Amino acid sequence: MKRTMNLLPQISFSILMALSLKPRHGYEIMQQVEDDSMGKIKLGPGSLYTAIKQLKEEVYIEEVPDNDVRRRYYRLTKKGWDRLNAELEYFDKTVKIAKQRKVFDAILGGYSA
Amino acid sequence: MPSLDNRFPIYSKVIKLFPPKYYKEYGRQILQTTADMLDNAPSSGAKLVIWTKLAIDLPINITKQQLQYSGGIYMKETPTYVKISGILTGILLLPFFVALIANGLDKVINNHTLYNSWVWRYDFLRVWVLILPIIAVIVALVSLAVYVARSPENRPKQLLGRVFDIKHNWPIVATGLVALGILFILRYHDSAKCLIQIPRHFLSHNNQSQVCKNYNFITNGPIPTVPTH
Repeated sequence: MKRTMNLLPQISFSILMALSLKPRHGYEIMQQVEDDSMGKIKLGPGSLYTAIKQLKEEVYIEEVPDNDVRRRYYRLTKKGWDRLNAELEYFDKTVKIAKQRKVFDAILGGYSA
Repeated sequence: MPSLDNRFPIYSKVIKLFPPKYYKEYGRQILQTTADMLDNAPSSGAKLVIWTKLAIDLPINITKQQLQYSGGIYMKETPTYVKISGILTGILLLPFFVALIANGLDKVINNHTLYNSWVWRYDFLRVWVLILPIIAVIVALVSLAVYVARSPENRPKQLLGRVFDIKHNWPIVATGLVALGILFILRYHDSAKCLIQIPRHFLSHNNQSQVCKNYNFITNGPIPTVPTH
């Protein structure tokens, strides 16, 4: 039997996406998340580290040793990559289903069912 | 370059409102990230926007973390039997509050109360205001005794310290105190005469129990016939 998967919260998913490029520190993560979301997700430090704490507890991310003594850098763990992959697969399938059902055409055509 | 604490004297103090464990882990990083945000802000207007955002972001996340740490981490360290006892004790007290709420709603909606209804009749009343709270107190006390006797190594060593280790044993302490509160109020309520003394009288003076069965606890008189609405 396949296990059901609860999707990650939007902020957590965005952080995993931001860390998929390279290890980053807090402010870099915030900037990347804002860029990736085309400015729709603007994190504050409180929200950022609340999400980082959660992701660290789930072992999706880990700290990277770095020479920068003031900033901590984070990167994806193996579990984090697997989780990001699972999330993206889900979104990919959802988009494929939407295309099969011509959902995008319906939206572009003004929602006429 | 001034330290972050000197640069943001008030902000650094606000951040200390995070739970200590969280502050130790992320406090400096939050300060550093804030400094990075402000250093990269192109104008003083943008800095103002950042501070406005922080004024919303921080209180929400401080509250979130405080709740998580008090309810989450401490609950993780609370033994399962304490949690189960807390839930059980809570369930035992539920009829008391349900009856009180039902009575209040009856007053608000129908402008009369459930007094003299079956909820307030002696046999049933005795169960939800006396017997269930007594059982709840016993369950809470036994659990607390077990907790004090078998307290894990990382808990206070002193006996009293373990009794008042509220962070970890609060489910039983809280519900136990509520149950005791109910019994304490009952002790001074006009119904106490019948409710508390009845077990003794029931054994020796059967007539007394009959009197109490037909006793209106509110008016201190016999139960009148309930008119149909």
